[in-house]
Amino acid sequence: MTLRDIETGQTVIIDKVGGSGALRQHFLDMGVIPGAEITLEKLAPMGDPMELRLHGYELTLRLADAEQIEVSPLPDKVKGEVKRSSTISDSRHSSEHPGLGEGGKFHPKGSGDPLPKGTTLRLALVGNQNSGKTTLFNRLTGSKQHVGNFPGVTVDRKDGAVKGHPEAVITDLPGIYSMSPYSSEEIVSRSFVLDEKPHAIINIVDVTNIERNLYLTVQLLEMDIPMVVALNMMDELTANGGSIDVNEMELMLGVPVVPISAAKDQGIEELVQHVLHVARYQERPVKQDLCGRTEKGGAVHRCLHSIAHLIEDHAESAGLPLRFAASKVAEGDALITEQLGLEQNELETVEHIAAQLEKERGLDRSAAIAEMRFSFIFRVCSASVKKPAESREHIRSKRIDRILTGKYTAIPVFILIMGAVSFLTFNVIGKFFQDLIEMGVGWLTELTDAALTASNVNEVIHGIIIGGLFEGVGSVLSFLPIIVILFFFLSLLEDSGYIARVAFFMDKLLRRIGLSGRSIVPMLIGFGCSVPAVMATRTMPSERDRKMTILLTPFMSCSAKMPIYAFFVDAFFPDIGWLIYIGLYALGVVIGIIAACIYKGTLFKGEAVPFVMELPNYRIPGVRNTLMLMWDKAKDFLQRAFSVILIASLAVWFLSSFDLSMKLVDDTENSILAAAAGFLAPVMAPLGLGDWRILVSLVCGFMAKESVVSMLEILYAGDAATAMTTLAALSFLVFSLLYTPCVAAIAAVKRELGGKWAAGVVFWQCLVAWLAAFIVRLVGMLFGGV
Amino acid sequence: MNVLDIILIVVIAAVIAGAVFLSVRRKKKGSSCCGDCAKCKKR
Repeated sequence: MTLRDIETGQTVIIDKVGGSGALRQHFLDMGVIPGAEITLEKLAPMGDPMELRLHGYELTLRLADAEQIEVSPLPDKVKGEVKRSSTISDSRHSSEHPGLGEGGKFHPKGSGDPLPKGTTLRLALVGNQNSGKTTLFNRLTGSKQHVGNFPGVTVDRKDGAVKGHPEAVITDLPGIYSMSPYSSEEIVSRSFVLDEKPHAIINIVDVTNIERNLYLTVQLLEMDIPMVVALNMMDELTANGGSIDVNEMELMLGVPVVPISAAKDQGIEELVQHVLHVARYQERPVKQDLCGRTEKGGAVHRCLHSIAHLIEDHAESAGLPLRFAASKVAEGDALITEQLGLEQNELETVEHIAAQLEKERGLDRSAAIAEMRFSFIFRVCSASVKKPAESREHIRSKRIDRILTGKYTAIPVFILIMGAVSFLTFNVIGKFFQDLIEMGVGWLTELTDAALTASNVNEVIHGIIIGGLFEGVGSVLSFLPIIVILFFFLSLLEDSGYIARVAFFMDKLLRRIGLSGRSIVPMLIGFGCSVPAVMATRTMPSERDRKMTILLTPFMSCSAKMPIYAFFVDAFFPDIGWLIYIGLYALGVVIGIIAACIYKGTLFKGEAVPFVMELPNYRIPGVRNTLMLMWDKAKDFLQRAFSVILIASLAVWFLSSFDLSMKLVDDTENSILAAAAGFLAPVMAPLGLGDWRILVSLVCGFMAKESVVSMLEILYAGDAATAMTTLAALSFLVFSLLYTPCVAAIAAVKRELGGKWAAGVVFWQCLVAWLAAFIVRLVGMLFGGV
Repeated sequence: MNVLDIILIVVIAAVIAGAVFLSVRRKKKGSSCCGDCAKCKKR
């Protein structure tokens, strides 16, 4: 029987994990190991993928991948038994405190061999995805990095000095499940730990999901780098009736263990003291054998020790920790094996040793080693962890999921939520504040204009201030509320854990166009801004999916295009504004789907990689986090308005106000800009947009989309609405929706995929935009439009 | 050209200088992690 065949609610035992390569290793690292109990929680609304529960957390898996996992029914005698990790009696504080990482306990106070004074301590924050690393980083450094509630918010390393300890610099790394990298942002973390050799590691462990989190801890112990384990979300565990014997765990792991709650700012000071101590005194993990000498015949023990002896000299010259290198070689990690530069004889010997392991254990090498690690974890957990029966957060999540991922409700609710977000953003809250700012800016412009006229100020200076600054910058300022409100809603969806669910139930649909459910996350972010959307693709394990998602992101209408839509809706479609907004967003998505089908059949042939993702519990979004994100976006928008847009506005005002002999012109038709842009204007003529001023505004939009409206206002002297027909306005909207993303987004594409792809995106998006706008115009003309 | 014109020219020049400074700073801040820590020169 395979995992695919089991019924909803049925619990089975894993017998064998099939498949090959990095994906199989990923399964094993996520705890899908022979002997583990796994329960089918539910199937996605469209029947695929499935939501499974193992080691106390939820995992998604496609049916096709589940087919590779052989399972057998749970023996009757096991049913109803208390799980291994829950067997501890309530013996809190019974063990003696080992005092690791504390002066006066591990070594006499004032002694030891500290690093020279003045050494900058480099610390690394390492942990599973969605374990609260960035929340802890913000606490430790006082910074305001964005956090979310889905796996893989951090895709980049971030540095910051520890608050009150300027001599210590901490790096927040993307979340990883193990030291076998699966996706590109996991490589960032592994490379950092291996190559940069931080003075100490803070390993953050989510105690509500402790077994899977400790898998990384066990691998980090092999790195032989001073380390402190931070048990995060302790408040949640204890509130649900669970507890951890911290002393016992510290003793068994051989590194300091500090219980904390990053969200509630508890235990942070103690954590800082411990990590600074182990970093300064270079107190490494206590040496111990994780592979029991007698455990299951001792096959793994003998295998790892034999390989360790064999590769000792290579590991030393490659600068790799021996224990880590030995287990990676045994697992068959190609990167580490290559780095070690083993000779043919040694490679063959390794092969023989591993083959013997497989024979004795009846498991393949990767599974045997993963199983050894989990055995150690179960020993630690059964001795030190008292798990709650079921956390309140999980019960709450299950209840919410009955609706949000329910068979018949998931997609209608998703459409309803997205509809409500756009309605509230564009029509209710955002619109109210937009009108308010518009009134303010208009009043200030009139006041300044009157004052300048009354003071008889020079005509050119008057023009720069009113025509350049006020009309340029002022016209985009009013869109600030819409953008901030949109990000407010996106932040709520992300922080609550809903976006991860959207990925879950959209997987089957997205697979039809060659993508995986994970692609939905960058795409939804793309409705806010393409730059973080492109960056967010780093969480995707497959290069093919990543490239394809990046190429599709520009089809998602970013928030910077909103001013363009709002401007034209106000001028041409005031009564059916909401229809135009929804129509444009939908058109972007539809053309994106068509493009994806084209990519699938040409550039990116083949299937999307398996969808293996953790589903976090729902959480109430943090007010501070949401406000911080809104402030960041507002600041970013204002900076753009007063930098790029201001300069572009002034440049366009200058070029449109003077002729080639530097004389002020009465009619912009005689300006420098008209002469320059006039050459290219015929290209846009078939779209009904043959006016050179339209071309200039679109070109300026490449710098920042918001500036399209400013440019139209400047070039048409505030009369842009009357210079276009309704059909031309519609065609303009479609072109603006689809043409090249702004320079910042293109730079992000270049950073992720290279210059050729970035140039390709610019050209391709312009071509698609032109064709779509042309079709819209043709259809409009058929219905009698002009 | 009167005194007010001169004051306004100075103010406009200061605003432009500020905008250029902001743009340059934005561009620098925009540079991010390439993921290749071993070869990265930005650190």
